[in-house]
This record gives sequence, structure tokens and C-alpha cells, in this order.
Amino acid sequence: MAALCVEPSTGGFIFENCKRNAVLQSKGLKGPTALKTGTTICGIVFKDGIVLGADTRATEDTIIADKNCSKIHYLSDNIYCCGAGTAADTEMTTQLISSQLELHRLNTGRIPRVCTANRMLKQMLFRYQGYISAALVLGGVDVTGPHLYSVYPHGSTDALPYVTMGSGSLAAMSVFEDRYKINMEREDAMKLVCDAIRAGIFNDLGSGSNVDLCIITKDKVDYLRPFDEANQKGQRQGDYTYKRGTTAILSEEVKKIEFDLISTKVTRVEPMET
Amino acid sequence: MSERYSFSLTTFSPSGKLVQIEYALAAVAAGAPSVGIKATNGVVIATEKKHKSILYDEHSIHKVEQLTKNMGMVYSGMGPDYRVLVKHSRRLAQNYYLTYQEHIPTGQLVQRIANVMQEYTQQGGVRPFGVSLLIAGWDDDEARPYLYQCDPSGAYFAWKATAMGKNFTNGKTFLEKRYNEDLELEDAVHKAILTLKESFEGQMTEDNIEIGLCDKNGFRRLTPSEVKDYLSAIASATLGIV
Amino acid sequence: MKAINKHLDHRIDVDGGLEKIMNLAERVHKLEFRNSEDNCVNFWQQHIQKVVIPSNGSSEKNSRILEKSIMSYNGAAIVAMKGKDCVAIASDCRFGIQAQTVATNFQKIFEMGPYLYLGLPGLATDVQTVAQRLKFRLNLYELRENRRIKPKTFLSMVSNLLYERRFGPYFVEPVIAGIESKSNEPFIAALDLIGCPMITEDFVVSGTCTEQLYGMCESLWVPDLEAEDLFQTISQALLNAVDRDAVSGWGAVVYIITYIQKFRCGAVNTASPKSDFTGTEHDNAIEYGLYE
Repeated sequence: MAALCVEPSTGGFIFENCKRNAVLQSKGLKGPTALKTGTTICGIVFKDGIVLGADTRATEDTIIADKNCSKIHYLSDNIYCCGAGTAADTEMTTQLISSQLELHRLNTGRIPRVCTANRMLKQMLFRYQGYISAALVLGGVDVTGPHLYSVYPHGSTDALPYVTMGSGSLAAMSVFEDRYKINMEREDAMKLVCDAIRAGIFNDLGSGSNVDLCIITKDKVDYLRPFDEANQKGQRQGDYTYKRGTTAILSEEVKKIEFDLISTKVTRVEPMET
Repeated sequence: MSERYSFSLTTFSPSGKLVQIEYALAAVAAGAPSVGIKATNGVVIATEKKHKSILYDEHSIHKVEQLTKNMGMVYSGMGPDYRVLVKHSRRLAQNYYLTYQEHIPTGQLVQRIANVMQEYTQQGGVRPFGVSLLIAGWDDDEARPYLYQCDPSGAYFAWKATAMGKNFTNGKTFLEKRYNEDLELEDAVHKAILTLKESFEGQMTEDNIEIGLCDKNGFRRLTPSEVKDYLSAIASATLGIV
Repeated sequence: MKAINKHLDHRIDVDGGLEKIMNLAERVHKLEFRNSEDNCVNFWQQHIQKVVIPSNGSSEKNSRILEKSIMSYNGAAIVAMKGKDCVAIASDCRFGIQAQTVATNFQKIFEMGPYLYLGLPGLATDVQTVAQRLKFRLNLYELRENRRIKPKTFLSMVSNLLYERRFGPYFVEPVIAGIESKSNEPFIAALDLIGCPMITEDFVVSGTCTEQLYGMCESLWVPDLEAEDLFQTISQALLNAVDRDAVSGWGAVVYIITYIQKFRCGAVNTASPKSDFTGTEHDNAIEYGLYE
């Protein structure tokens, strides 16, 4: 049913530039790269729930584009999801699924289950045949208990007690393989995940900066950002601020902005007493 | 006489009316009454939920529905039509959130729902919705409540307080007498229940009315036990007066 | 063989950097031995990606090899910074086609509202298309909702526009600077070409000399700069960065958006737009606006 009102298109990809871009590329112009999160993300199941962890570095080729980006995304009040891969893809995929989960919650009147989120994610990613490069660690607690999944860009998923993803996954997994135990205490679990992320931060060049943690239990979520500042910037010794008037100016224009008067207040100034 | 011009709802009658829309309004006026009252710190919407048989499982179907974190709605008229609109509204709200990462303002959602309802008065092969909606919302930016009504024609109004459905004129007269600007939410709930009581036949219980509250903490439907508390508070208050 | 030489002659006309072009020609010649003519042309096409540009008065010593990528086809440098109750956004003014400068008054920063500015570096055709498409969506939003857009909401709007074209992107990497009119919070953000939003608390850079800009900003920027100091910081960061970039420069525009909390007759916000810029004579000159 076509809408009678003209609205900008909402949802769905647009391919109008593809042909032009292909022509540009065929003429020898190189296409640019999108923001990547060369990443260490991981999660474990512990006694009362899930601990998710992530580093906070976003890279564009060899440049660090963001030193404190957030890689643990909200899906619903009881489900969170770490993202690695192309930053825009992880961001948009999790937003979309979060929206669908909220609709699902409203329409069913129930707290969404982790397996539902997992199913939605894998069906979407499989539909796009890996072209949406989002590698995810999905964790949450629902009516059936804590669950942890890893989701691959092509749509395959694993349900495991401890998982790692991203370029630093090997470093993080080595820590888990060494120290993971079932039914860990909360504090131990947090320490373990933090150490796994730190292993990624210090051994993988694609990962860096801080450690973010998200602890999901039956009735509470603690999103600790940052949990650990693994790389603190040194204090600057000198002052490099340029003196006022350094920069030569060609012309200057000041534009007054019309403002809405929100409130006026007349205050009385008392004369000073001696 | 007018039946002659009701062969297609996209056709005007010679007097310039779309009679199908008027029939839809008649369906609303025959429906169960609902009330909405805006207070200083929130909104209340309430409706009568009578069942034809005692065999019904009362709490399996709801008339007050949540749309977003801080918006909810109720209806007078045809239940099945309402369900379609609820689903549509939730979609619209989520779409807005996906585009702007910001909760949809109440006025915006109402406008979009009204657009949908209008489309059903002009498109071929459809009929207008047989419901009027009451939409309660809290606007986070402006930190104030909103109460809107949305009719089958696609017309919408912002109210301080209103009543729809069966005996709505009585309800409105009652509200006009009882409403004042600096009403608190708690009082508004009482007033809403009293308005419903005006035309209520039989005993009002927590099983045959439904109430939704909306304030800065968001929208929620009252549980039957909460409704029961309100009802008993009113009962003792009226006893005191008498 | 002949076809290749013809192309090379053309290159010499454009660049004037004769010596390096000859070297390149030699390489192409060598390849000519091994491959068919068709392959040769392809190879040449790939190699001309590296164009020799005389930078700053055609001094051979400073010449720099340019990578021929779509993002650096026209050249641009944009930076935005946060200060105390103020934000600044600045861009260079050059419009070029690879090494050839075509104009020195190209608009890369667009006013999207009194407190909201958008910087668009990248392929010039997309810069203008995206600016217009966004203005369209923005106008529609502001008319429909009868209110000004918040910078953060605008960020989502840009993000959506770009991500819709995830598999056929516009070649722009936008920068947003603004002040949230209700809370008066300064706001800066940047996006990649497929719309991944990135909100920061210090500065954002984008364009063909991000490496230089990152270096300048990391050492110059400090928190809570007053508007005047923020202007010096952002100007010097930009000018010194574009001086080490062959495809950006030729003057710059700086916008300072400030908020003055207490004012005799109410709250006033000021910002300066770009005016009659004539940046051809002074490479280091700059146009800017300050609070009243």
C-alpha cells in the first residue's frame, strides 16, 4: 500500500551510487576504507550471569580514529552485545536488532530471550551473506538463565561458556583457556575478563586504550565504562597554546543569532555595606 | 436515504459528507467509554472493560497498551481495529527511534497515526477504522505530559481532559465541572474513575476497568491490585462524604 | 606503445614535473617488453596513481608522491574542536582535481542551523550532493516537528543517510560541530563514509591530511579553551597541517560558535559564516568570527 504522504525513504539499502563507484574504481581510483574496530571483545558465563568485555580502540587503516569508542551495545534491558568488524555495521546491526527486540517485547509482553536476539542476528547476517561485517559477542540473562553466544559475519553462531572475537581474540582466548572455570564468583569473573581484554590491548596492535565491562545478572546490569584505564596519557609538561593574535586574519564577520526568549529574571543588586 | 451514497467510502454524498466516516464515529459512540485526564505531573487514561460472560478470562486481553517507554493508548470502538493501530503505532515509533536515536515526541506519533487513519478514508478497498484513540505521553524534552484524541477521520485533538465512547457527552460535562488546571496525577486517577462511574452499570471492580498512567518515569498499566486500591479509596471517600 | 606515449605527454603538460615523469615513462617502457599493449595501458593506469606534484612553488625537494584515491581526488582538510562553552570548525578553501588547483574559494562547511555546522571533506561532487540531501531532510524535519534539530539527532540523520548507501557509498567523511540549544552543551562528532558515528570530547579531524591534523591537535589541544584561544589553536592546527599536504590549503575558514550565558537582554548565541573570501594571495590568512 503506497503512502499518500511524501516522506523520505526509511529503511533498506540504496544502491544508486554503485554503478558510478564501480566506474571510478575501474578507472584506477582506489576506494577508501571504512572505520574498523580491530578489536578484542569477549564474554564469559559466571555463577550469576554474564560478563562482557571490550577494548575501546577504533582504527582506520593504521590510524587510531577513536581512542575511547564504545563497543558494548545495548540490545535490551537484559541483553547486551559486543561488536567487532566494520564499526558502522556493528553499530547499525545492533541498533536494528535492539529496535526489533523492543517491538517483540511490546507485542508479546515478555522480556526478550537471548536466543531470540541470537536468532534475529544470525538471520539478518546470513541474509546479507557476510557483506555486513559484524562479528559479535552476544550475552544476556533471561527467564531460562544466562546465555552467551558468538555471532560470525556470515551468520553462524556458537553458544559457549566463554568466547572471544576480533583481531585480539587469540590473545584473549589464551587467558580464558588458562584460567576459566565454571561457576566463578562475580569478582573473579570480572578480573578474568579484564585480564583477557588487557591481553588483547597489549599484544594486538588493533586493540588498545581502555577496558569496558558489562555485567548482566538476573535483576541488574552494571555497565562499567571505563572499568580499567590500561593506557593513561602522560601529563603534558609544556604549554603549547598559541598567543592570541598569532593567526593572520583576512576578514571577520559576526553573525547574531535570533534567539527565543526562554526566561527573564530581574535581580536586584544590593549596595555593599561598610 | 443516505445508504444510497455509501457504496464506496471514497465517494462524497451530495451534502458533502463521507458517510462511512460518520458510521465509524457511530461505532465509536457505541463502544465502551474511556476517559483521559491530564494532570500537572502526568496523564491518566482509563476505560471500561466489561465482559459479556463471566466465563471470560478477564486479564488475558488488554485495552490499555504501551506504545513506547513513555507513551500509551486506549480506545473506544472496535477491538480488532485497535490492535492493528497499536501494532502500526509501535512500528512508527521504533522507526523514528532508529532514524534519530531519540524517542518520538507524542505530537509526532499522534500525527503519524492520524495520517494512517486518514489514508483509510481515501484509499480504495479499505474502510475507516472503527475506533477513536486516546494517547497519553510524556515529553522528555519539554518535561510535560500530553493527552491526544485521534478520530477515524484522521482528525486529532490535544485535550486537558476528555471522554469518548458510550455516554461521552455525560462524561465530558462531568469533567468540565470537575477539572481544574493544577490537578495532581493521584487526583486525576480518582477523577477518571469517577467519570467512568457516571455511566457505569453494575458494580465497578478491578476486573472490569483498566487504567494507564504516564509520568516522567514512563508509561505503565496499573495492575488489578493497584486498581483495587484506588477503587476502595474512592469507596471510603464517598462514604465519608455521604 | 604509441598510445602510452601520448598519455605521458599529456601528463607532462599537466604537471610540469618533467624529470619524475620521465622516470615513470622508463618503467612503463620496461614493462612494454613483457606484456601485450593492452596490459601495458592497464599497468600505466595503475602507476599514474602516483602523481608527482610540485608543492609550495614547485621546489623539487619538497615534492610529494600522491596516492590516487577517490577520497583525495579533490583534497580537503576539516577539523572541529571543543572549547569552554564554544565549538569551532575549520576547513581549507582549495578545490582541486588531483594536483591541479581549480578554485580557492570552495565551500566545505555548511550551515545547518544557527548552532549547527557540517564539514564535508571528500569527493567534491558528493560533498555538494550530501550537503543538499541533508539540508532537504533537515528542512523537512524542522518543518514537521516545528523545532530546531539537536546536534546529536542531526548526527543520526547523517549516519542514516550514509549507511543507507552502505554498499555504494558517498565519498565523504562528515564532521559536525554545534551547540545543543537547550543545555548549551558543545558537541562535536565525525563519521566515516558509511556513517559510523563517533562523538568525542576533544577534537575530530577529517580529509586528506588527517595524520598531520591528528599530530597538531594531539599536541595543541587542551580542555576548556576560551573562544579566542580556541580560534588560535584550531587555526594553527589546520594551517600547519595543510602546509604538509599537497592537495589541501589555499586559505581557510574558521567558524566559532559561542554561547554567552549571561546577557543583559537574554541569551545570545553568535557564530560567523563565511563571507566574501579572497584567499588567493595569502596562504596563511584566515577568516573567522568571534563572540561579541
